[in-house]
Amino acid sequence: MMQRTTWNLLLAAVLLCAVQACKKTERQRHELAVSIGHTAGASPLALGTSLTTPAGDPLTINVFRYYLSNFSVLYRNGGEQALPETYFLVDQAQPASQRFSLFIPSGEVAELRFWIGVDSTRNVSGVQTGALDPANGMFWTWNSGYIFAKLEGRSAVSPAPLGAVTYHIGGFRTGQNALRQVRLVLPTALLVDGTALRELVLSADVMKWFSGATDLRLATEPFTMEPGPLALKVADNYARMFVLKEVK
Amino acid sequence: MKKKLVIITLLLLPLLAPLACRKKDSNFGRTATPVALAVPPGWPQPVYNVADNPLTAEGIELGRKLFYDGRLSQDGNFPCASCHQQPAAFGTFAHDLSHGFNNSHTLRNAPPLQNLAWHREFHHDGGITHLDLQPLAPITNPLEMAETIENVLNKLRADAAYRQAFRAAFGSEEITTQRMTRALSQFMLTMVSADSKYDRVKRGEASFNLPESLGYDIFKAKCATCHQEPLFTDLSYRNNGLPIDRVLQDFGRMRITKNPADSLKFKVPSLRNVMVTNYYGHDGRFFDIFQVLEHYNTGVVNGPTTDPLLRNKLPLSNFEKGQLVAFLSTLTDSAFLRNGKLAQP
Repeated sequence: MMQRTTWNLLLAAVLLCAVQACKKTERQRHELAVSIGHTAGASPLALGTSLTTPAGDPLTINVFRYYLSNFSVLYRNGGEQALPETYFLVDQAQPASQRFSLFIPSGEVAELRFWIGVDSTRNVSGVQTGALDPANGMFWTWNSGYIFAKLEGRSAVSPAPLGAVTYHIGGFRTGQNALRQVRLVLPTALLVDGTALRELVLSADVMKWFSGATDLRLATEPFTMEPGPLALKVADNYARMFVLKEVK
Repeated sequence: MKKKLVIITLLLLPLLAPLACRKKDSNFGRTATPVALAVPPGWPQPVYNVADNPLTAEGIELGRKLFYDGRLSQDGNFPCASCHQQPAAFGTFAHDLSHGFNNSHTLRNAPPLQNLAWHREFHHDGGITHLDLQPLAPITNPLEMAETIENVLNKLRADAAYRQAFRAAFGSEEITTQRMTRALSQFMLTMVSADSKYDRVKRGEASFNLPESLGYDIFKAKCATCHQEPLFTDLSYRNNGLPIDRVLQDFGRMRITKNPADSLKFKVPSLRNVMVTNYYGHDGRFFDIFQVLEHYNTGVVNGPTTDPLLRNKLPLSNFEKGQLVAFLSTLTDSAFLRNGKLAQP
């Protein structure tokens, strides 16, 4: 009896030590949630409904999805903390994809930075997994590279078959690079130290795809499905679609 | 005594920590048999990084099963091997444009598959940046296998034999895009052709006859800059003066880079096994090797991007053409073309 107790204690000690040894030695990381709401102008975006672009073109959106990657946070007292392996596929049709968590060292966060798209390294390093799995349909197989962002729909003014509007935006090669960084400054620095779950509420206006850097008309530029000039114009436009709505 | 044992055990615990902290590895516990990538003596180092995808007997065997399986296509009729046939050095025997789903033709001639570990980019236009990504192009092309990646994975997941094969190769039954394409790469990496008569001559095990030897001299003088030994390609993109086909409108490398300087440039094909890979040209426009040589002799079209080496064409007498073909025939690697390990399982 005595013997069994001793061995049980020993076993418990072994397990405890193993757990302790596995704890990361670096600074403790804390969850910072990010949620994104999609709008079409002032109203919440609803797929399949009739909309009007800023230039006045009719548009119904059926697909709206994009990659966000390589997040980093800037602290109030300086210093940027990169967050490796942050790749998220955000999809209007998948509400769960519109909220995700970053894990950051404690500190007062002054700014959130991320990229719309996928870095060139991941474009040329073979077949990836998780959010970057080519099976997610955000990959050009004949001209290797990720589709950074996809907007598909219909417009009565589009000359394409079925009145299709198809914006597949991507490109990482020199002269075709559609990767765009977003920087969102917090109104006041947010202390993230694990005492309460903090959340940044973002909003993305789909209508920003069609104006901002360049006004796009669906009668003349209804589709792009490869890297190139129109993809760059759209990327320059949508780089401005995010705003920080609320800090919780 | 017991107390001592406990103390000793506790003291030993830190030594166990590294074991406990072992990173979770999908390959943990794998028992697959390692296989070395064959690098023929005197060849450059391969570009493909096998450290990311170590070859194993089980992985190669799985790749072979996938390569020959029609289920990778929508209607079951188009395995990789439908266009990549071993007797044609894994090109399509006696075809111009390759065929696919629903009687369709593709834009181009299926390239032979050999010595792929030394290639950085794939397709005639180099649009594919990694060997593992390559199979996704024909699988999803509506003119080729016309399937979706998700459908292919689901078909494989539904098959107990595949689940078992993935377990043997990768340590668990999980079937993902990455695992499927890595297995295909493992098999394709074993398609090494380096045992032709030319190779045996280079190794001192055989010697050229007179026409072969004269042909080799002509080759070295007129062809070897682009068709560089030992791969018989310098892997560059060049315009060799082929006029554009009015229907295909294929501008080659420019489709990828959008750079007008790349208009009509195509990847220099290897000449290994060239005598069994007819038709020739990126669109298979030449029926036989003599038509190709005649193109260089008289057919080269001078345009803004035509290769400087071909500005004055490449004069070849009938005599020289004969010698060249004698030499090119020494690049046929019958051991490769008949290797049972590369054949349908």
